[in-house]
Amino acid sequence: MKPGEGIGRRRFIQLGAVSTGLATGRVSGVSRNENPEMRYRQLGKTSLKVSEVAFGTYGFDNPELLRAGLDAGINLICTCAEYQDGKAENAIGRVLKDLGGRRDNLVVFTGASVRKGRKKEEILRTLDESLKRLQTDHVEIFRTHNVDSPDQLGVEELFEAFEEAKQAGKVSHLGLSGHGRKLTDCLDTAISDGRFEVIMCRYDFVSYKDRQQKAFKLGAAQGIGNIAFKVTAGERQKEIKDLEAGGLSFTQATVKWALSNPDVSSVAAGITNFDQIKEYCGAVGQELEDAELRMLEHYREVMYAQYCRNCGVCEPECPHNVAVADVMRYAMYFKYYGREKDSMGLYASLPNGCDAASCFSCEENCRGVCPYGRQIRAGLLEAHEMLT
Amino acid sequence: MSLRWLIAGSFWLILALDTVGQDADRAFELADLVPDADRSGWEMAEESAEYFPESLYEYLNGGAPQYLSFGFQKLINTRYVYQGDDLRSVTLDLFEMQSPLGAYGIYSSGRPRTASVHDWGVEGYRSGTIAAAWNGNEYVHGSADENDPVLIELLDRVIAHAVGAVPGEPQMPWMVKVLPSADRIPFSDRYVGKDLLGHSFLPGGVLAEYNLGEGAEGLLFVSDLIAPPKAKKAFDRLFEYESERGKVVGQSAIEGTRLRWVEDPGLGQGAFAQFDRFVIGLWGSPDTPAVRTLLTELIRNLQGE
Repeated sequence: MKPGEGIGRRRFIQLGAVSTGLATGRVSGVSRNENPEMRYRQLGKTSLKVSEVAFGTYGFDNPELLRAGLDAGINLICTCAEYQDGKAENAIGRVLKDLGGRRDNLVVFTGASVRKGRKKEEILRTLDESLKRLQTDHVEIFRTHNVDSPDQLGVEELFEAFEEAKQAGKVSHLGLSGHGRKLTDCLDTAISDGRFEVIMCRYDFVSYKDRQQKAFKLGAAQGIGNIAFKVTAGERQKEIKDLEAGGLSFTQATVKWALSNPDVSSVAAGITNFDQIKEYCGAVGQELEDAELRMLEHYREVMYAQYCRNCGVCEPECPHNVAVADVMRYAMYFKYYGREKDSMGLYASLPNGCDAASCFSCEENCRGVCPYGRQIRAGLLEAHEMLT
Repeated sequence: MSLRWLIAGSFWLILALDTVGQDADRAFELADLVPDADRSGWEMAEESAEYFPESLYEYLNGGAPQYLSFGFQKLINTRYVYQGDDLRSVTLDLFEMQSPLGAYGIYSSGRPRTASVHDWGVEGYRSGTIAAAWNGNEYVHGSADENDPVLIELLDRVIAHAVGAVPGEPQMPWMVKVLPSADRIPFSDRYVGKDLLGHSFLPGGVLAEYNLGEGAEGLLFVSDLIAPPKAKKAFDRLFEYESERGKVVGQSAIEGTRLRWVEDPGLGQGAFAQFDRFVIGLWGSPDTPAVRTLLTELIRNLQGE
């Protein structure tokens, strides 16, 4: 199979379409793919072609796991200096040192947290320490790790260190990774900046997907390569009875969903056991079926529609300045943590007008705003009744 | 006092003593451990943020599944800023885990070997701008923006304060206590919550590295399968794996326990066995007297469990 083949015919499915199309969908006929063949996609405007599934290394400590992943066709290894305090990079290094010429076919993507105040020399030293653990003289991509605020992307020392390391042949491309509440703001900032060539970020079928898809598309148009991770939206499928009944694989469905976006080059999967390699790679080259879409929708309803994640995204939409995240949080304290008195006190101490009293007569500007699909007004009204 | 009353009194005393620890565990909220910014110049940057299993992914980058596998329950994140300078801050994360083993697991997974030890809780360390400690079900982690003495002083203080406020006597989990102490490489012990050494059929366990003489190091592991039949099944699957991907080179017995000697493709030479409800083993060495001594002591320690 040639790299990138088959992407064009993929359907790119919005969850909205999922909800409306469920009733007519096929019920059965989906099973786990046990004999995957890896496929590859171009990573933005870099010269790199990466496997549709990347090897995520958080929690991994057996080099043979990585070898098995490489045998399955994975060529993108995502790691970080901070994963298990360097143990992940050490384990990767034990594999890389024995690969010989095969190393040239791999894309090693490492990084470190770079915050304001870090000096160029410190960043370069961090990279050198990574190279030493990885037992290689270069990595294809270095990233600023765990970015959760746009101002963390303006650290000039990072760009200076990158240019110096690039001149020395230690690194080829600059990237970032992130997942937090301000992720989409971070993506917008990084795309506008123009110096980042690779973005690795949370991307799942539940949260912020519309905004992230827009950012991915915009970034891809500028030649940025997008790598998705955390595609399983919490990985709590075992808590839902019979979710995978009939031979369905939740994991494979989430990977297929992410790969159905042509602007995504690869899905980074955290791999800590041998079974997962077959599971993740089994999603490659497979269409997302209706039964799988129904499974994802059911997961979203059970796991996400019932509680607030306190992200605050909806708050600017409220004409009455209701402190939505705080109100929801206090309601959670009341309902789930046995802090009735405490939570009522907290609610009463909210500044005038910030409680949910105004929701009773409101036109519901917050409808459809929640990135997780929650009914905000209904939740606020329930909270107000509970906390007063 | 009659014998009857003595027996009854003893019963209630034992019951009361038995519940002291439980009550102590329940007698505080995680939020109670958050230190105030009680020195001049310091203030909390914002209200502490709380995370639960449902929202942990909002905070941890890639690591959430591992934290959940350790039994994560709750996290309180607090940031202290010095003299209003946002670049001079100390971040404190308080984790409530389901068990002491989970707290130890998180703690040991990130502990560098080069860290300096501190008398904080059961164990604590600081390595540069990072510090951590644990006690009971609580794991405490902190970081300073830079290696500035003012920041490091606060970092040390908030870690010591938070873990010191956890009720109960500091005590290492039994799974760690059974590891032989002689020749163990300092700070090499750790607990993983699942997929021990990449195997989904090993539900987790403790590991530690040992000096085996002449520069050789070995990795010792213990996985608790809860019941002997489950341990037998896991052992069989490990043997099957080694037969397929590695090479089985022989067998021997220690303390009546049959060891299988193999060459694992990723971990090197070693041996493993089923002992009661445990699967145990050592990687990184062929059959030597040092290895036999180590495994013998481990099996003896496990006999009491």
